[in-house]
This record gives sequence, structure tokens and C-alpha cells, in this order.
Amino acid sequence: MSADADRLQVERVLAGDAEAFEPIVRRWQGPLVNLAYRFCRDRGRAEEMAQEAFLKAYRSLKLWRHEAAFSSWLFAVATNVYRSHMRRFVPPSVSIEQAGEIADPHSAEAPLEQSDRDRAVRHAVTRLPAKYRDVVTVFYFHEMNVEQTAQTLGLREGTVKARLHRARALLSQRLSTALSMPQLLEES
Amino acid sequence: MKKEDLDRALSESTEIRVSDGFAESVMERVRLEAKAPPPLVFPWKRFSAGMGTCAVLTIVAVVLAIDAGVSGGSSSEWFEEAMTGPYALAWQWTLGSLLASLAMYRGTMRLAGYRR
Repeated sequence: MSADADRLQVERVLAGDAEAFEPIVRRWQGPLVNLAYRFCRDRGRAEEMAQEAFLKAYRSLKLWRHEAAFSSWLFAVATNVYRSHMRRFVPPSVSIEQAGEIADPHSAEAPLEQSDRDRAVRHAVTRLPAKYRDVVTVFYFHEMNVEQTAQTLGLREGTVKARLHRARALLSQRLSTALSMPQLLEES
Repeated sequence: MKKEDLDRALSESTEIRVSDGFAESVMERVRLEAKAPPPLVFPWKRFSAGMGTCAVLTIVAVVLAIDAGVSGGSSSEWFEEAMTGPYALAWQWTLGSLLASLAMYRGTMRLAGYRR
């Protein structure tokens, strides 16, 4: 249903009706802003990045090959915009402990809350080298679907799996030191 | 922390809510984009005509130079004559202007932040 609507509206935009782009924006604004947020962890910046992504998509609509779903193409365009945005803006230096707002991770009086740990993990992802950060971010955004992740990033599935494995190893290494966690890869 | 913990931490179900005016602000920029005149197209026809003329002139110049070298002595003699003979000033100006153009081109590209 939405695929048909996308196709029709794209055709109208390409025929010169810029207003036909609005339903596309309304339909995809949530996913695009949320994907941007996972890259930068900042609501304001996420909206700016998503706006850039929509404009980029608008300018390059004629490059969409109809054999791929419009949503796949849109996510790929947006991911490219977010990746180049992240290359230009270095994330502020926040330690893993600060990211999780952990007073003393070794203290029995201050046990780590699950939400703190989760937050620390998410911030640790933003500190990964770009090629691992991108794969982890898009993989979990696509609900752990390797095929979709590969499509969005323009990589082979094998490359995605290899980078995911390496990213988990890096996260394990960094988080286990900071949060006294057992190795993540024990079970991977 | 196990692999499942990592999966749980990163498979966050909480979605951030998009600001109310987001779609409008995107559409404002889209409308501006749609109103803007299309970007200038590179003048390929004129460029090709210019390049063709330059190529023809270069070939003619080379042929004439070789011809002059064969009939009137070596190419170094021809060059010496060209630089000292009646057309010396014209040659020097041509060479100087070419060098100045190259310097200006490089300077402009550097100022514009262009890196090859």
C-alpha cells in the first residue's frame, strides 16, 4: 500500500508537483528521524540530519531505480547523509561511565541499573570506528536484519556479519573494562 | 553482559517523537528548492568547439614548426629565431599570458578550497 503510494507520489514530484513530496515526508519522517537519532543521540541534531536526508532524496529522486523498494532507497540515501554528517562532527568526548551516569561502577552500594548499562552501551556504539558504528546502528535499526542492513549500507552480507562480530568484540573489550562486564563474545 | 544484553540495549523500542513542525519545515525547503532556477548546465557545445579549435591550431602550429625546422635548420634554431625575430614580442606575450592564466587558475582553485 505505502509502496504504491510512494511510487505514485514520486512520479508526481518528478512531473513537477513538489507538493506531492509532503505525504512522503509525513510517512517517513518518524523512521528517518529515529535512524538519525541512533547515529548522533541528540534529538535536535537528528531532526536536522533527517531534514538534510529528505532534501537529498528530493534532489536525487530521479536516480531511484524502481526495482528496489522506495523505502530501501530512501534509507540508503539517508544513511549516506548521516554517515557524512557524523564524519564532519566529532561526537563530544563522553566517557562510558558518564554516558551511563554511573557514580561508581564497582561499588556495591551503587549497583548498575539496567537502563544505565543500556545507555552506556548505546553511547559506546557512537564511539566505535565509523565502519563498525554504522553497521551496528543500521543492523539494530532494521531489527537485526542482515539483508536489509547490507542493502542500506551497500555492503555484502558477509561484510556486515564480519563487521558486527568485530564491533561486538570492541564493545565487549571497552565495556568490560569500564563496567566490569564479562566478555560479550562468550556466547557469540 | 551477554550478547543478548547487547541486543536488548541496542534494540531500543522507545521511539523519539518528531517535532510538530518538522514536515512543514522540510516542505518549506523543498518549495524553495523547487522555485530555484535549475543549476547552470556546463556549456559542452561551446567547450567542445573551443577545444576543437585549440586542437586544430595546435596541430597547425606543430606542423608549421616542424616544417620550419626541416627547411630552415634545427628546432632549437627555429625557437631561437622565434624568440629573437620580428615576432619575438608576440611570442613572449603569449607565453607570459599562458603562464599568468595558469597561475590565476591555480590560485583561484586554492582559494575556493578545491583539492584534487
